[in-house]
Amino acid sequence: MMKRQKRKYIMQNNGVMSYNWLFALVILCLLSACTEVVDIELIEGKERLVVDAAINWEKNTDGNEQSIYLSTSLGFFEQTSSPVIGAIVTIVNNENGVSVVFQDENNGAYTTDTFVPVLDASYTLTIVYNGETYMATEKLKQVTPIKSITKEEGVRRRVNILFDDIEGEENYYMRKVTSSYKQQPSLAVKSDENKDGLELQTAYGYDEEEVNTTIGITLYGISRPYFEYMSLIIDQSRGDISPFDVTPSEVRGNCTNIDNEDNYALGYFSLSEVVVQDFLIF
Amino acid sequence: MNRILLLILFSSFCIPVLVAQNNYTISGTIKDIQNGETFIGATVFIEGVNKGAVTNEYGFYSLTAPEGEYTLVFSYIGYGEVRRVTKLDKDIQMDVELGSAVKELVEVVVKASASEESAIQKPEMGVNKLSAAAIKKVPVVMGESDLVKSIQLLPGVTNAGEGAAGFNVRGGAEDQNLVLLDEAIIFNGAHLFGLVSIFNTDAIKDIKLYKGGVPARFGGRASSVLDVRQKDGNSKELEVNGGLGLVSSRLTLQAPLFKDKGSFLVAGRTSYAQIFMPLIFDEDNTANFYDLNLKANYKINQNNRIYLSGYLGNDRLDIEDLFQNNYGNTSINLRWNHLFSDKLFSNLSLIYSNYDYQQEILVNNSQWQYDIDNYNLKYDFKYYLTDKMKLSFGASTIYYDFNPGVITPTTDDSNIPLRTLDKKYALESGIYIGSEHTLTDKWSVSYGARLSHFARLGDQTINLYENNSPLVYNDELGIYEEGRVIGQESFGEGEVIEQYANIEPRIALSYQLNTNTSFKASYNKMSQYLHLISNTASASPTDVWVPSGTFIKPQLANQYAIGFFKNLYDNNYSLEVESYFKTVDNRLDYINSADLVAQNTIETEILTGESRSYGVEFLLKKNKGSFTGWLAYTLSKSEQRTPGGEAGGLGINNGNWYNTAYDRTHDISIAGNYQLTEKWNIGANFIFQTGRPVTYPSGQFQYQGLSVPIYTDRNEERLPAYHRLDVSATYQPRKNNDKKWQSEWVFGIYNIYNRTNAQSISFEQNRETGQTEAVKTYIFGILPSIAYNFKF
Repeated sequence: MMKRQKRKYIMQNNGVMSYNWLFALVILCLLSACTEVVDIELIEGKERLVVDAAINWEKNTDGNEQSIYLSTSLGFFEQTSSPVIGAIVTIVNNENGVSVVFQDENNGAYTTDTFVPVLDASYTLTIVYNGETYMATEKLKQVTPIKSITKEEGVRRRVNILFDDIEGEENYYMRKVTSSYKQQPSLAVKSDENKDGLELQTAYGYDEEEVNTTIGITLYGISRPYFEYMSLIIDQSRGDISPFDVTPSEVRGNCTNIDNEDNYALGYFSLSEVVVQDFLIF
Repeated sequence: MNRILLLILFSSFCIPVLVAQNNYTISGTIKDIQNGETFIGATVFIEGVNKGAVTNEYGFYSLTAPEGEYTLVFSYIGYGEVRRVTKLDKDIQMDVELGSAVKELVEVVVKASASEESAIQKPEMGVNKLSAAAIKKVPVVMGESDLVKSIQLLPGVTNAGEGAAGFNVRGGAEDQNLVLLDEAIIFNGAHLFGLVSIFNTDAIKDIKLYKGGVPARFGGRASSVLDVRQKDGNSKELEVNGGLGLVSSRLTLQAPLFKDKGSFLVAGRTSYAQIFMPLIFDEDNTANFYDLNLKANYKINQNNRIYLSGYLGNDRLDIEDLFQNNYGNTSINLRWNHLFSDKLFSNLSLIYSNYDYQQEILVNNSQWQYDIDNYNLKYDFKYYLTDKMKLSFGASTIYYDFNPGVITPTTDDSNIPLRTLDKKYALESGIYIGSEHTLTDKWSVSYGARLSHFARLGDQTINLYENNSPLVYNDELGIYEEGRVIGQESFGEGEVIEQYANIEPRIALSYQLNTNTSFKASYNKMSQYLHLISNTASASPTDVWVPSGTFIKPQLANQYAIGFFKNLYDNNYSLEVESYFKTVDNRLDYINSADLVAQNTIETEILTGESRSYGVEFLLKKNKGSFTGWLAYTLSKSEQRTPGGEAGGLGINNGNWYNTAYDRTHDISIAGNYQLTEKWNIGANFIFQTGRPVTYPSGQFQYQGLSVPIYTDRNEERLPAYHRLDVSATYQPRKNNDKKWQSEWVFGIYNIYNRTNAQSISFEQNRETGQTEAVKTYIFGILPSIAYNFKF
């Protein structure tokens, strides 16, 4: 069994991980440090293809309609989007050889209504863009239904989401909460380490303004590599980048460029069974 | 290589013994006439003969010469010479007291005496000395004179900026400095997170910083040794001095004990930052520190003296509703000086020191506590073999007890689990022998070797990993992951888990071209068995020291240096140019996205690599006159390389060389002091340093509704350059030699042109516009200060 202790903190409201952040805060307070907005020139990174290919099959639906989004990476201060148009996107079911070609919507989205999801089947995504071919292979992972969603009573503003782990195998889960009050969705990942077959819990901490609004909750079954990937992505996209945080670094996904290895793509090709539920924070 | 060195070493010890005949020895101590304080580095010369000796750390000297009548000249920087005509027909014991050249509250800073020439001849390089008086003349932030801030004005010494505790020597890391206070190891030298250092300048006699050419008696750190010596205490009369500053106030008491047989010193210092905190913030926050230096000595007889030193310091920080923090050093040290003969000096030290840290985080209801205890037994000998040769040898052993801590939830509903990190034990021992040897009038050499040994001891349970790899490269995602644990191995109490031994040769050579000019070269090897692993820009109290062991190998440093030394214009000026090249094997760096805080299996978060640094240092000093000061310039490079090794993959930054976090291309320091009138003394210093290497984002991408930053390679970018100018003025109102009461006012302005030097640059989203912005954090703008010092 792998030791997966450190990843757990991501679900624990950043528990121990925030020690350093707190320390930073303390230093700054103590020395009455001042801040000012400055103009700095950053090294412009290489423009890369970004693959946002999350195949999500909602439990008890056909799952035939799927979308993949392609874009290019942006300058750090840029606020525009840069959709990729004209790529050829296909997904093949590696068990039966059935392939699905996605239709270019000319806005960065590539869609299909003929996808056939099969649990635990292996799929390969192929993207041909600018004369180079990118490929990624992943498995479609199962999810379990949400058992209950409750608002925690007490001082902390938290919504607890409970579900049962699938027994007898290593499982990984991700939950997403979307709220009209937040610009970015809240994501968290969870493993069943030391809790095989038991009840698992994930918590969402909400702000005061979110009371009396409805949040959308999605629970995903994910693979171990995707769990690793999302752990890092969640960590790095937490918004503010403080110098006292762990030194960040580029995170590659699972899409390799088979023609030119150095020109790798960012993003990830994942396949998940999902359950979706809304919850009114009262 | 090592064998040849050892051979040279031992064969050369034997020769001089054979030729020494019909010689007699003069020995004793050299002291200050006013307070009986012994001098470190005072000189005695035989006039007309090129023979001399320098006092050691305990003020002792020993000089051997053939039978005859001589004039002996005793001197020390800033003090008047004393001459004694002596007929040498038997061994003589001679204690000498020197009087201050100018009577004032603090001695004139750098006033070279005639004997300064000896520095030209000594095979000592990479060494900077500062007296407490010199440190006090340097303008500093908030008027608090500070040792660690002062040494940063020397060539080859930098730090991570304001609010950073440690310092970096010749491109070395902060954990590579051995900091000794009266021989006790200090693990964290900072109060208030680096605002002031823990060394109370009123209690300090002097300091010596070895940047290279480290003598064999020191070991355990790869870069430098900062040897801080406390005063012994006034043995003539009661002396009280103190001061009031903006941050802290000080009081020092010194007095003789047992009718001139001994003396003591008690120095206390406490901050009152808690007064200011509420003015700055609404909340009821406090930050304060105190420290206490103690020293007592007793002379049993001419050949035996005992010393007791102690240090106790503590910092406390309270941010209401958020954070409570407490840390401090404690050390106690018992020493026994014994003269076996007038040529064989010995010192036995028994030292205990402790570093303790605890914090309570109220928001997530948890508490963390850790500490390091160490017990150190040392026996050092100095044997004044002939007038041409001095031997030093000895042994030491240190027992470490690392208690990395316990994290406890403070309430039932805390989301932090109870975690106890493994205790770690180790024994670090060393034996050494070294020699200072004058070969001819022009050549002198100092050489020696240290044999160090480190044993990591039980009881502890160590994880066993698949393929013996605590870290595995995930090819697909391009990241390092924890290895698979396949079992555990338990070690009983005192059982050796892993051990290392290293021979560390040290050699320095000096060639004296003429009385004012010399060339020097040195080589030293150093082993470091403890590692401070930090992933933040500067060392913080939360960083944890990790001993070498099964997965972590000792750092091995090799340093080569050459230098040119010249006294100019009748010793009014001196010029020192040194160039160094240093490599360190087994330098650790953390993997990308490492989680180091409260990490029990640190081996799963780090990779082993190497580092190298090189540079050239210029130091031009004006030593005499009403204007004194120096200009220091360092051009240097400090890089490291961390390949994947057994874990696979290319490693950090694809296994290429990259800048260390403390690489500074240019480092300029100018320090000046001008005695304007009898009452006014003006000081100024200017510092310029190339910005510190950092990692910035180079782009971003959108994924699953998240905006994810893309980063450059580690330390590829730099903060803006750091520079500032400080000035100070000291006013001594009355100079009445009849009255004992003396006082002075010190006015200072730190960062006079209000440069907002970046401590860090972070990237935040503007709440109103949603635009991502670069936000600079700086710690001090322009900052005036005032302090009052007194003495009676």
